[in-house]
Amino acid sequence: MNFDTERRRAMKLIAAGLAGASLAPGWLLAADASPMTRPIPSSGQPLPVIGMGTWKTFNVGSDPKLRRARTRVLEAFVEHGGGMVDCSPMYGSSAAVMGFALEQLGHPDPLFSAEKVWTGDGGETREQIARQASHWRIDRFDLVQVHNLLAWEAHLETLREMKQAGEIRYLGVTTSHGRRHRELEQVMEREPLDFVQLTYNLTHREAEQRLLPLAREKGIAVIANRPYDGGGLIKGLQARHSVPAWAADEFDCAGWADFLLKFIVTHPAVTCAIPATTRVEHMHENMRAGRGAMPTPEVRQRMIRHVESL
Amino acid sequence: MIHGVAAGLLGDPASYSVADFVPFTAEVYFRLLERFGEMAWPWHGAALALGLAAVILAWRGRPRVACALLAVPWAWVGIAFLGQRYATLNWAGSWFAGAFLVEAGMLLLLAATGAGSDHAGAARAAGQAPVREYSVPRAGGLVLAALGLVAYPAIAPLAGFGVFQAETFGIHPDPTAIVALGIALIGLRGAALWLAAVIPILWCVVTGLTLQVLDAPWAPVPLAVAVTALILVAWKSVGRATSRPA
Repeated sequence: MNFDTERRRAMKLIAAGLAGASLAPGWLLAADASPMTRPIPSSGQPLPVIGMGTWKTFNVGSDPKLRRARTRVLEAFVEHGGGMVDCSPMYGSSAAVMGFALEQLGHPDPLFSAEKVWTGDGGETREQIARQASHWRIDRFDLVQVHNLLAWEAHLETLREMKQAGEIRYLGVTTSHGRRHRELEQVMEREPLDFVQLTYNLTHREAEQRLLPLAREKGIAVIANRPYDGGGLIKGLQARHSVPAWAADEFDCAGWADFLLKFIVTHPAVTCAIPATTRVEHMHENMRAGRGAMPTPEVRQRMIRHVESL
Repeated sequence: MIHGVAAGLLGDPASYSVADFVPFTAEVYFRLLERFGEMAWPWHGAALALGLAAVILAWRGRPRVACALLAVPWAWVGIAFLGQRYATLNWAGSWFAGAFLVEAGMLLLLAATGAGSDHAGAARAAGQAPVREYSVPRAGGLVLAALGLVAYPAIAPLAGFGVFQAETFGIHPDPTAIVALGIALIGLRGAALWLAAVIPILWCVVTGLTLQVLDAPWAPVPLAVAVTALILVAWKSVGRATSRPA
Protein backbone atom coordinates (compact mmCIF):
# COMPACT_ATOMS: atom_id res chain seq x y z
CA MET A 1 0.00 0.00 0.00
CA ASN A 2 1.52 3.38 -1.03
CA PHE A 3 1.74 6.54 1.00
CA ASP A 4 -1.16 8.32 -0.76
CA THR A 5 -3.50 5.47 -0.08
CA GLU A 6 -2.48 5.41 3.55
CA ARG A 7 -2.91 9.16 3.82
CA ARG A 8 -6.40 9.06 2.29
CA ARG A 9 -7.34 6.28 4.68
CA ALA A 10 -6.04 8.24 7.68
CA MET A 11 -7.94 11.34 6.59
CA LYS A 12 -11.14 9.34 6.24
CA LEU A 13 -10.70 7.88 9.71
CA ILE A 14 -10.14 11.32 11.20
CA ALA A 15 -13.13 12.74 9.33
CA ALA A 16 -15.34 9.88 10.41
CA GLY A 17 -14.10 10.23 13.95
CA LEU A 18 -15.00 13.90 14.01
CA ALA A 19 -18.38 13.15 12.48
CA GLY A 20 -18.96 10.39 14.96
CA ALA A 21 -18.00 12.61 17.85
CA SER A 22 -20.42 15.25 16.63
CA LEU A 23 -23.17 12.63 16.37
CA ALA A 24 -22.83 11.21 19.84
CA PRO A 25 -20.57 12.45 22.58
CA GLY A 26 -18.72 9.64 24.20
CA TRP A 27 -18.80 7.44 21.16
CA LEU A 28 -15.39 5.91 20.92
CA LEU A 29 -14.13 5.49 17.40
CA ALA A 30 -11.50 2.83 17.76
CA ALA A 31 -8.68 1.91 15.47
CA ASP A 32 -8.99 -1.04 13.10
CA ALA A 33 -7.76 -3.43 15.78
CA SER A 34 -10.61 -2.90 18.22
CA PRO A 35 -14.33 -2.68 17.62
CA MET A 36 -16.12 0.62 17.98
CA THR A 37 -18.25 1.05 21.04
CA ARG A 38 -21.04 3.27 22.25
CA PRO A 39 -21.90 3.91 25.87
CA ILE A 40 -25.06 2.55 27.43
CA PRO A 41 -26.68 5.86 28.45
CA SER A 42 -27.86 4.68 31.87
CA SER A 43 -24.42 3.51 32.99
CA GLY A 44 -21.78 4.72 30.56
CA GLN A 45 -20.60 1.15 29.98
CA PRO A 46 -19.18 0.90 26.45
CA LEU A 47 -20.80 -1.67 24.18
CA PRO A 48 -19.45 -2.76 20.78
CA VAL A 49 -21.78 -1.41 18.09
CA ILE A 50 -22.08 -4.79 16.37
CA GLY A 51 -23.75 -7.48 18.46
CA MET A 52 -25.24 -10.81 17.51
CA GLY A 53 -28.83 -12.01 17.19
CA THR A 54 -29.81 -15.68 17.52
CA TRP A 55 -33.33 -15.75 15.98
CA LYS A 56 -33.49 -18.89 13.85
CA THR A 57 -29.72 -19.13 13.50
CA PHE A 58 -28.95 -20.77 16.87
CA ASN A 59 -32.14 -22.85 17.05
CA VAL A 60 -30.57 -26.15 15.95
CA GLY A 61 -31.91 -28.47 18.66
CA SER A 62 -29.64 -31.31 19.70
CA ASP A 63 -28.00 -31.73 16.29
CA PRO A 64 -24.29 -32.15 17.20
CA LYS A 65 -22.99 -31.12 13.77
CA LEU A 66 -24.98 -27.89 13.74
CA ARG A 67 -24.15 -27.17 17.41
CA ARG A 68 -20.44 -27.35 16.56
CA ALA A 69 -20.98 -25.10 13.56
CA ARG A 70 -22.76 -22.47 15.67
CA THR A 71 -19.97 -22.66 18.25
CA ARG A 72 -17.55 -21.65 15.49
CA VAL A 73 -19.81 -18.67 14.67
CA LEU A 74 -19.81 -17.54 18.31
CA GLU A 75 -16.06 -18.10 18.46
CA ALA A 76 -15.56 -15.75 15.50
CA PHE A 77 -17.80 -13.17 17.21
CA VAL A 78 -15.71 -13.38 20.38
CA GLU A 79 -12.42 -13.19 18.47
CA HIS A 80 -13.60 -9.98 16.83
CA GLY A 81 -14.33 -8.50 20.26
CA GLY A 82 -18.09 -8.85 19.97
CA GLY A 83 -20.30 -7.72 22.84
CA MET A 84 -24.04 -8.25 22.94
CA VAL A 85 -25.61 -11.65 22.23
CA ASP A 86 -29.41 -11.49 22.14
CA CYS A 87 -31.79 -14.42 22.63
CA SER A 88 -35.39 -15.19 23.65
CA PRO A 89 -37.54 -18.03 25.01
CA MET A 90 -39.41 -17.73 21.69
CA TYR A 91 -36.33 -18.92 19.80
CA GLY A 92 -36.72 -22.63 20.56
CA SER A 93 -33.42 -24.27 21.49
CA SER A 94 -31.31 -21.13 20.83
CA ALA A 95 -30.61 -20.51 24.51
CA ALA A 96 -29.53 -24.13 25.07
CA VAL A 97 -27.31 -24.01 21.98
CA MET A 98 -25.82 -20.74 23.23
CA GLY A 99 -25.11 -22.42 26.56
CA PHE A 100 -23.43 -25.30 24.77
CA ALA A 101 -21.30 -22.93 22.67
CA LEU A 102 -20.36 -20.76 25.66
CA GLU A 103 -19.23 -23.79 27.59
CA GLN A 104 -17.19 -25.04 24.63
CA LEU A 105 -15.50 -21.63 24.46
CA GLY A 106 -14.91 -21.43 28.21
CA HIS A 107 -17.44 -18.65 28.84
CA PRO A 108 -15.52 -15.74 27.29
CA ASP A 109 -15.61 -12.67 29.53
CA PRO A 110 -16.53 -9.70 27.36
CA LEU A 111 -19.86 -11.07 26.19
CA PHE A 112 -22.94 -9.07 27.12
CA SER A 113 -25.83 -11.49 27.63
CA ALA A 114 -29.23 -10.19 26.56
CA GLU A 115 -32.33 -12.31 27.11
CA LYS A 116 -36.03 -11.74 27.00
CA VAL A 117 -39.06 -12.71 28.99
CA TRP A 118 -41.90 -13.91 26.76
CA THR A 119 -44.99 -15.15 28.53
CA GLY A 120 -48.48 -13.81 28.94
CA ASP A 121 -48.33 -14.80 32.60
CA GLY A 122 -47.02 -11.76 34.43
CA GLY A 123 -46.22 -13.88 37.48
CA GLU A 124 -43.82 -16.16 35.62
CA THR A 125 -41.05 -13.60 35.01
CA ARG A 126 -38.46 -14.93 37.46
CA GLU A 127 -39.19 -18.55 36.62
CA GLN A 128 -38.69 -18.03 32.90
CA ILE A 129 -35.53 -15.97 33.37
CA ALA A 130 -34.09 -18.66 35.66
CA ARG A 131 -34.92 -21.31 33.07
CA GLN A 132 -33.23 -19.31 30.30
CA ALA A 133 -30.17 -18.70 32.50
CA SER A 134 -29.85 -22.43 33.09
CA HIS A 135 -30.02 -22.97 29.32
CA TRP A 136 -27.25 -20.38 28.83
CA ARG A 137 -25.35 -22.05 31.71
CA ILE A 138 -24.76 -18.67 33.38
CA ASP A 139 -25.77 -17.21 36.74
CA ARG A 140 -27.32 -13.97 35.59
CA PHE A 141 -28.06 -11.92 32.51
CA ASP A 142 -26.71 -8.49 31.78
CA LEU A 143 -29.97 -7.43 30.17
CA VAL A 144 -33.51 -8.82 30.28
CA GLN A 145 -36.12 -7.37 27.96
CA VAL A 146 -39.89 -7.82 27.77
CA HIS A 147 -40.34 -9.53 24.42
CA ASN A 148 -42.79 -7.91 22.03
CA LEU A 149 -44.32 -5.91 24.92
CA LEU A 150 -46.14 -9.04 26.12
CA ALA A 151 -47.58 -8.44 29.61
CA TRP A 152 -45.00 -5.67 29.90
CA GLU A 153 -46.40 -3.93 32.98
CA ALA A 154 -46.17 -6.99 35.23
CA HIS A 155 -42.81 -8.09 33.81
CA LEU A 156 -41.23 -4.64 34.10
CA GLU A 157 -42.24 -4.44 37.75
CA THR A 158 -40.43 -7.72 38.47
CA LEU A 159 -37.45 -6.73 36.32
CA ARG A 160 -37.10 -3.51 38.32
CA GLU A 161 -37.01 -5.53 41.53
CA MET A 162 -34.44 -7.89 40.03
CA LYS A 163 -32.29 -4.99 38.88
CA GLN A 164 -32.44 -3.40 42.30
CA ALA A 165 -31.39 -6.71 43.87
CA GLY A 166 -28.50 -7.03 41.42
CA GLU A 167 -30.00 -10.10 39.75
CA ILE A 168 -29.85 -8.38 36.35
CA ARG A 169 -27.91 -5.30 35.30
CA TYR A 170 -30.25 -3.69 32.78
CA LEU A 171 -33.89 -3.95 31.71
CA GLY A 172 -35.75 -3.10 28.56
CA VAL A 173 -38.59 -3.84 26.13
CA THR A 174 -38.65 -5.00 22.53
CA THR A 175 -40.70 -4.86 19.37
CA SER A 176 -39.84 -5.91 15.85
CA HIS A 177 -41.00 -5.50 12.25
CA GLY A 178 -42.08 -1.91 13.03
CA ARG A 179 -45.10 -3.14 14.99
CA ARG A 180 -46.72 -1.46 18.00
CA HIS A 181 -44.63 1.69 17.80
CA ARG A 182 -47.33 3.82 19.37
CA GLU A 183 -47.49 1.55 22.43
CA LEU A 184 -43.71 1.38 22.59
CA GLU A 185 -43.53 5.15 22.58
CA GLN A 186 -45.93 5.31 25.52
CA VAL A 187 -43.83 2.79 27.46
CA MET A 188 -40.68 4.77 26.72
CA GLU A 189 -42.38 7.96 27.91
CA ARG A 190 -43.66 6.42 31.13
CA GLU A 191 -41.14 3.83 32.26
CA PRO A 192 -37.49 4.11 33.28
CA LEU A 193 -35.83 1.83 30.73
CA ASP A 194 -32.16 1.04 30.09
CA PHE A 195 -32.74 -0.49 26.65
CA VAL A 196 -35.30 -0.56 23.91
CA GLN A 197 -35.08 -2.96 20.97
CA LEU A 198 -36.77 -2.18 17.66
CA THR A 199 -36.44 -2.77 13.95
CA TYR A 200 -34.30 -0.21 12.17
CA ASN A 201 -32.57 -0.66 8.84
CA LEU A 202 -32.13 1.12 5.53
CA THR A 203 -35.57 0.09 4.30
CA HIS A 204 -37.41 0.35 7.63
CA ARG A 205 -36.69 3.79 9.03
CA GLU A 206 -40.02 4.55 10.73
CA ALA A 207 -38.23 4.66 14.09
CA GLU A 208 -36.38 7.79 12.97
CA GLN A 209 -39.59 9.81 13.27
CA ARG A 210 -40.30 9.54 16.99
CA LEU A 211 -38.74 6.54 18.73
CA LEU A 212 -35.05 7.19 18.10
CA PRO A 213 -35.24 10.90 19.05
CA LEU A 214 -37.23 9.91 22.15
CA ALA A 215 -34.61 7.32 23.09
CA ARG A 216 -31.91 10.00 22.90
CA GLU A 217 -33.98 12.40 24.95
CA LYS A 218 -34.72 9.79 27.63
CA GLY A 219 -31.23 8.29 27.68
CA ILE A 220 -32.35 4.84 26.55
CA ALA A 221 -29.94 2.56 24.70
CA VAL A 222 -31.28 1.30 21.34
CA ILE A 223 -30.73 -2.18 19.95
CA ALA A 224 -31.52 -2.33 16.22
CA ASN A 225 -32.92 -5.73 15.26
CA ARG A 226 -33.48 -7.12 11.74
CA PRO A 227 -30.59 -5.06 10.27
CA TYR A 228 -30.83 -7.16 7.10
CA ASP A 229 -34.63 -7.31 7.26
CA GLY A 230 -34.53 -11.01 8.08
CA GLY A 231 -31.83 -11.66 5.47
CA GLY A 232 -34.01 -10.70 2.51
CA LEU A 233 -32.55 -7.20 2.21
CA ILE A 234 -28.89 -8.17 1.98
CA LYS A 235 -29.57 -11.24 -0.16
CA GLY A 236 -31.59 -9.16 -2.61
CA LEU A 237 -28.93 -6.46 -2.81
CA GLN A 238 -26.08 -8.97 -3.18
CA ALA A 239 -27.93 -10.83 -5.92
CA ARG A 240 -28.74 -7.81 -8.05
CA HIS A 241 -26.44 -4.91 -7.27
CA SER A 242 -22.84 -4.01 -6.58
CA VAL A 243 -21.96 -1.72 -3.72
CA PRO A 244 -21.55 1.79 -5.19
CA ALA A 245 -17.94 2.82 -5.76
CA TRP A 246 -18.42 6.06 -3.80
CA ALA A 247 -19.17 4.04 -0.65
CA ALA A 248 -15.67 2.56 -0.73
CA ASP A 249 -14.20 6.04 -1.10
CA GLU A 250 -16.35 7.57 1.61
CA PHE A 251 -16.10 4.96 4.37
CA ASP A 252 -14.06 1.98 3.21
CA CYS A 253 -17.19 0.05 2.39
CA ALA A 254 -16.21 -3.47 1.37
CA GLY A 255 -19.65 -4.97 0.79
CA TRP A 256 -23.35 -4.77 1.50
CA ALA A 257 -22.87 -5.93 5.10
CA ASP A 258 -20.68 -2.86 5.67
CA PHE A 259 -23.13 -0.63 3.85
CA LEU A 260 -26.22 -1.78 5.77
CA LEU A 261 -24.69 -2.11 9.23
CA LYS A 262 -22.66 1.09 9.17
CA PHE A 263 -25.76 2.99 8.19
CA ILE A 264 -27.57 1.68 11.27
CA VAL A 265 -24.85 2.14 13.84
CA THR A 266 -24.09 5.70 12.78
CA HIS A 267 -27.54 6.88 13.75
CA PRO A 268 -26.77 8.87 16.90
CA ALA A 269 -29.47 7.11 18.95
CA VAL A 270 -28.47 3.56 18.07
CA THR A 271 -26.28 1.72 20.56
CA CYS A 272 -25.82 -1.52 18.66
CA ALA A 273 -27.17 -3.65 15.82
CA ILE A 274 -27.67 -7.39 16.18
CA PRO A 275 -27.29 -9.20 12.85
CA ALA A 276 -27.73 -12.99 13.00
CA THR A 277 -25.88 -15.51 10.91
CA THR A 278 -25.16 -19.22 10.64
CA ARG A 279 -21.85 -18.77 8.83
CA VAL A 280 -18.41 -17.81 10.10
CA GLU A 281 -17.52 -15.85 6.94
CA HIS A 282 -20.66 -13.76 7.36
CA MET A 283 -19.73 -13.14 11.00
CA HIS A 284 -16.36 -11.79 9.79
CA GLU A 285 -18.21 -9.45 7.42
CA ASN A 286 -20.62 -8.32 10.13
CA MET A 287 -17.84 -7.59 12.60
CA ARG A 288 -15.81 -5.71 10.02
CA ALA A 289 -18.66 -3.22 9.86
CA GLY A 290 -17.96 -2.24 13.47
CA ARG A 291 -14.50 -0.97 12.65
CA GLY A 292 -12.81 1.70 10.58
CA ALA A 293 -14.24 4.72 8.84
CA MET A 294 -17.93 5.48 9.21
CA PRO A 295 -20.36 7.39 6.99
CA THR A 296 -20.99 11.01 7.90
CA PRO A 297 -24.59 12.32 8.22
CA GLU A 298 -24.38 13.60 4.63
CA VAL A 299 -23.16 10.24 3.39
CA ARG A 300 -25.98 8.50 5.30
CA GLN A 301 -28.48 10.60 3.35
CA ARG A 302 -26.77 9.56 0.13
CA MET A 303 -27.00 5.91 1.24
CA ILE A 304 -30.75 6.30 1.73
CA ARG A 305 -31.18 7.88 -1.70
CA HIS A 306 -29.07 5.18 -3.29
CA VAL A 307 -31.04 2.26 -1.82
CA GLU A 308 -34.35 3.98 -2.63
CA SER A 309 -33.22 4.34 -6.24
CA LEU A 310 -32.56 0.61 -6.66
CA MET B 1 -62.24 -18.14 20.83
CA ILE B 2 -58.98 -18.89 19.04
CA HIS B 3 -58.23 -15.18 19.04
CA GLY B 4 -58.81 -15.11 22.78
CA VAL B 5 -56.49 -18.05 23.46
CA ALA B 6 -53.77 -16.57 21.24
CA ALA B 7 -54.14 -13.19 22.92
CA GLY B 8 -53.59 -14.76 26.33
CA LEU B 9 -50.45 -16.58 25.31
CA LEU B 10 -48.88 -14.24 22.80
CA GLY B 11 -50.41 -10.84 23.35
CA ASP B 12 -51.79 -9.09 20.28
CA PRO B 13 -51.91 -11.79 17.52
CA ALA B 14 -51.70 -9.03 14.92
CA SER B 15 -48.18 -8.30 16.14
CA TYR B 16 -46.93 -11.64 14.80
CA SER B 17 -46.49 -12.93 11.27
CA VAL B 18 -46.44 -16.50 9.91
CA ALA B 19 -42.63 -16.37 9.89
CA ASP B 20 -42.66 -15.76 13.67
CA PHE B 21 -44.07 -19.26 14.10
CA VAL B 22 -41.22 -20.86 12.17
CA PRO B 23 -38.23 -20.14 14.45
CA PHE B 24 -35.71 -22.29 12.56
CA THR B 25 -33.94 -22.30 9.21
CA ALA B 26 -34.56 -24.65 6.30
CA GLU B 27 -31.17 -26.28 7.00
CA VAL B 28 -32.21 -27.18 10.55
CA TYR B 29 -35.65 -28.49 9.56
CA PHE B 30 -34.34 -30.70 6.78
CA ARG B 31 -31.54 -31.96 9.02
CA LEU B 32 -34.23 -32.88 11.57
CA LEU B 33 -36.14 -34.84 8.92
CA GLU B 34 -32.92 -36.56 7.89
CA ARG B 35 -31.76 -37.43 11.39
CA PHE B 36 -35.20 -38.76 12.30
CA GLY B 37 -35.30 -40.80 9.09
CA GLU B 38 -31.90 -42.30 9.95
CA MET B 39 -33.01 -43.04 13.49
CA ALA B 40 -36.21 -44.76 12.33
CA TRP B 41 -34.49 -46.90 9.69
CA PRO B 42 -35.32 -49.70 8.82
CA TRP B 43 -38.92 -49.26 9.96
CA HIS B 44 -39.85 -47.34 6.82
CA GLY B 45 -40.81 -50.57 5.04
CA ALA B 46 -43.00 -51.74 7.90
CA ALA B 47 -44.71 -48.35 8.07
CA LEU B 48 -45.33 -48.43 4.32
CA ALA B 49 -46.81 -51.93 4.60
CA LEU B 50 -49.05 -50.81 7.45
CA GLY B 51 -50.25 -47.81 5.42
CA LEU B 52 -50.91 -49.94 2.37
CA ALA B 53 -52.84 -52.48 4.43
CA ALA B 54 -54.94 -49.70 5.98
CA VAL B 55 -55.83 -48.30 2.54
CA ILE B 56 -56.80 -51.75 1.18
CA LEU B 57 -58.86 -52.56 4.26
CA ALA B 58 -60.69 -49.25 4.09
CA TRP B 59 -61.42 -49.76 0.38
CA ARG B 60 -62.72 -53.29 1.01
CA GLY B 61 -65.15 -52.15 3.65
CA ARG B 62 -63.13 -52.67 6.81
CA PRO B 63 -62.70 -49.03 7.92
CA ARG B 64 -62.68 -49.93 11.61
CA VAL B 65 -59.53 -52.01 11.24
CA ALA B 66 -58.04 -49.35 8.97
CA CYS B 67 -58.65 -46.68 11.63
CA ALA B 68 -57.08 -48.88 14.32
CA LEU B 69 -53.97 -49.41 12.18
CA LEU B 70 -53.76 -45.72 11.37
CA ALA B 71 -53.82 -44.74 15.05
CA VAL B 72 -50.39 -46.33 15.59
CA PRO B 73 -48.35 -44.03 13.29
CA TRP B 74 -50.29 -40.98 14.48
CA ALA B 75 -49.34 -41.70 18.08
CA TRP B 76 -45.74 -42.53 17.13
CA VAL B 77 -45.22 -39.41 15.00
CA GLY B 78 -46.89 -37.27 17.66
CA ILE B 79 -44.65 -38.54 20.45
CA ALA B 80 -41.33 -39.36 18.76
CA PHE B 81 -41.14 -36.73 16.02
CA LEU B 82 -43.23 -33.78 17.18
CA GLY B 83 -43.07 -34.16 20.95
CA GLN B 84 -39.48 -35.28 21.42
CA ARG B 85 -37.71 -33.58 18.48
CA TYR B 86 -39.70 -30.87 16.74
CA ALA B 87 -40.83 -29.35 20.04
CA THR B 88 -37.21 -28.51 20.90
CA LEU B 89 -37.15 -26.21 17.87
CA ASN B 90 -40.62 -24.73 18.08
CA TRP B 91 -42.57 -23.81 21.21
CA ALA B 92 -45.74 -24.78 19.31
CA GLY B 93 -44.37 -28.31 18.78
CA SER B 94 -45.91 -29.70 21.97
CA TRP B 95 -49.31 -28.41 20.81
CA PHE B 96 -48.85 -30.17 17.49
CA ALA B 97 -47.80 -33.35 19.30
CA GLY B 98 -50.96 -33.12 21.39
CA ALA B 99 -53.07 -32.71 18.26
CA PHE B 100 -51.51 -35.85 16.76
CA LEU B 101 -52.30 -37.80 19.93
CA VAL B 102 -55.88 -36.52 19.87
CA GLU B 103 -56.15 -37.75 16.26
CA ALA B 104 -54.78 -41.15 17.29
CA GLY B 105 -57.35 -41.32 20.07
CA MET B 106 -60.11 -40.28 17.68
CA LEU B 107 -59.14 -43.02 15.23
CA LEU B 108 -59.17 -45.61 18.00
CA LEU B 109 -62.59 -44.39 19.12
CA LEU B 110 -63.94 -44.68 15.57
CA ALA B 111 -62.39 -48.15 15.32
CA ALA B 112 -63.94 -49.23 18.59
CA THR B 113 -67.44 -47.89 17.96
CA GLY B 114 -67.65 -48.29 14.19
CA ALA B 115 -69.31 -44.88 14.07
CA GLY B 116 -69.44 -43.38 10.59
CA SER B 117 -68.04 -46.44 8.83
CA ASP B 118 -68.67 -46.37 5.11
CA HIS B 119 -69.16 -50.00 4.15
CA ALA B 120 -69.18 -49.47 0.41
CA GLY B 121 -66.70 -52.21 -0.28
CA ALA B 122 -68.38 -54.68 2.08
CA ALA B 123 -71.79 -53.90 0.62
CA ARG B 124 -70.52 -54.64 -2.86
CA ALA B 125 -69.04 -57.92 -1.63
CA ALA B 126 -72.41 -58.81 -0.11
CA GLY B 127 -74.22 -57.87 -3.30
CA GLN B 128 -76.06 -55.01 -1.60
CA ALA B 129 -77.16 -51.90 -3.44
CA PRO B 130 -77.23 -48.97 -3.77
CA VAL B 131 -73.77 -48.10 -2.50
CA ARG B 132 -71.46 -45.58 -4.19
CA GLU B 133 -68.28 -47.60 -4.23
CA TYR B 134 -66.76 -45.56 -7.03
CA SER B 135 -67.82 -42.09 -5.90
CA VAL B 136 -65.55 -39.14 -6.56
CA PRO B 137 -64.69 -38.67 -2.84
CA ARG B 138 -63.66 -42.33 -2.48
CA ALA B 139 -61.61 -42.19 -5.68
CA GLY B 140 -60.10 -38.92 -4.49
CA GLY B 141 -59.27 -40.58 -1.19
CA LEU B 142 -57.48 -43.32 -3.05
CA VAL B 143 -55.44 -40.74 -4.97
CA LEU B 144 -54.53 -38.90 -1.75
CA ALA B 145 -53.50 -42.16 -0.07
CA ALA B 146 -51.29 -43.02 -3.05
CA LEU B 147 -49.82 -39.51 -2.95
CA GLY B 148 -48.94 -39.91 0.73
CA LEU B 149 -47.57 -43.43 0.45
CA VAL B 150 -45.64 -43.19 -2.81
CA ALA B 151 -45.35 -39.70 -4.32
CA TYR B 152 -44.67 -37.56 -1.23
CA PRO B 153 -41.59 -39.55 -0.16
CA ALA B 154 -40.16 -39.03 -3.65
CA ILE B 155 -40.39 -35.23 -3.51
CA ALA B 156 -37.30 -34.51 -1.39
CA PRO B 157 -34.92 -36.81 -3.31
CA LEU B 158 -36.25 -35.43 -6.61
CA ALA B 159 -35.64 -31.91 -5.28
CA GLY B 160 -31.99 -32.78 -4.66
CA PHE B 161 -32.15 -33.65 -0.97
CA GLY B 162 -30.74 -36.81 0.62
CA VAL B 163 -32.57 -40.14 0.70
CA PHE B 164 -33.18 -39.94 4.46
CA GLN B 165 -34.72 -36.52 4.02
CA ALA B 166 -37.55 -38.25 2.16
CA GLU B 167 -40.67 -37.87 4.26
CA THR B 168 -42.39 -41.23 4.60
CA PHE B 169 -45.73 -42.40 5.96
CA GLY B 170 -45.63 -43.44 9.59
CA ILE B 171 -42.25 -41.80 10.16
CA HIS B 172 -42.85 -38.13 9.28
CA PRO B 173 -46.01 -36.10 9.86
CA ASP B 174 -46.84 -34.79 6.36
CA PRO B 175 -47.36 -38.09 4.49
CA THR B 176 -48.99 -39.55 7.62
CA ALA B 177 -51.59 -36.77 7.50
CA ILE B 178 -52.12 -37.11 3.74
CA VAL B 179 -52.64 -40.88 3.92
CA ALA B 180 -55.05 -40.44 6.84
CA LEU B 181 -57.13 -38.04 4.77
CA GLY B 182 -57.22 -40.57 1.94
CA ILE B 183 -58.33 -43.39 4.24
CA ALA B 184 -60.92 -41.19 5.96
CA LEU B 185 -62.43 -40.28 2.56
CA ILE B 186 -62.52 -43.94 1.53
CA GLY B 187 -63.83 -45.47 4.73
CA LEU B 188 -65.76 -42.88 6.71
CA ARG B 189 -68.82 -40.72 6.27
CA GLY B 190 -70.84 -38.03 8.02
CA ALA B 191 -69.64 -36.56 11.31
CA ALA B 192 -67.02 -39.29 11.73
CA LEU B 193 -65.42 -38.26 8.43
CA TRP B 194 -65.26 -34.63 9.55
CA LEU B 195 -63.86 -35.59 12.96
CA ALA B 196 -61.15 -37.75 11.43
CA ALA B 197 -60.25 -35.20 8.74
CA VAL B 198 -60.07 -31.94 10.62
CA ILE B 199 -56.67 -32.42 12.31
CA PRO B 200 -54.93 -33.81 9.19
CA ILE B 201 -56.32 -30.91 7.15
CA LEU B 202 -55.10 -28.37 9.73
CA TRP B 203 -51.71 -30.06 9.80
CA CYS B 204 -51.46 -29.80 6.00
CA VAL B 205 -52.10 -26.06 6.31
CA VAL B 206 -49.51 -25.71 9.09
CA THR B 207 -46.84 -27.67 7.23
CA GLY B 208 -47.62 -25.92 3.94
CA LEU B 209 -47.12 -22.50 5.54
CA THR B 210 -43.97 -23.73 7.30
CA LEU B 211 -42.49 -25.00 4.03
CA GLN B 212 -43.46 -21.72 2.39
CA VAL B 213 -41.49 -19.75 5.01
CA LEU B 214 -38.57 -22.17 4.46
CA ASP B 215 -38.77 -21.61 0.68
CA ALA B 216 -39.27 -25.34 0.02
CA PRO B 217 -40.36 -25.77 -3.60
CA TRP B 218 -43.05 -28.33 -2.64
CA ALA B 219 -44.78 -26.03 -0.14
CA PRO B 220 -47.93 -25.83 -2.36
CA VAL B 221 -48.42 -29.64 -2.20
CA PRO B 222 -49.75 -29.95 1.39
CA LEU B 223 -51.75 -26.75 0.96
CA ALA B 224 -53.34 -28.20 -2.20
CA VAL B 225 -54.02 -31.45 -0.33
CA ALA B 226 -55.80 -29.51 2.44
CA VAL B 227 -58.04 -27.69 -0.03
CA THR B 228 -58.74 -30.85 -2.06
CA ALA B 229 -59.53 -32.89 1.04
CA LEU B 230 -61.85 -30.19 2.36
CA ILE B 231 -63.75 -30.15 -0.94
CA LEU B 232 -63.99 -33.96 -1.06
CA VAL B 233 -65.14 -34.26 2.55
CA ALA B 234 -67.84 -31.64 1.91
CA TRP B 235 -68.75 -33.41 -1.35
CA LYS B 236 -69.15 -36.75 0.41
CA SER B 237 -71.22 -35.20 3.19
CA VAL B 238 -73.55 -33.44 0.75
CA GLY B 239 -73.77 -36.54 -1.46
CA ARG B 240 -74.73 -38.69 1.51
CA ALA B 241 -77.30 -36.17 2.68
CA THR B 242 -78.99 -35.89 -0.71
CA SER B 243 -78.91 -39.64 -1.47
CA ARG B 244 -80.41 -40.64 1.88
CA PRO B 245 -83.70 -42.47 1.33
CA ALA B 246 -86.87 -40.69 2.44
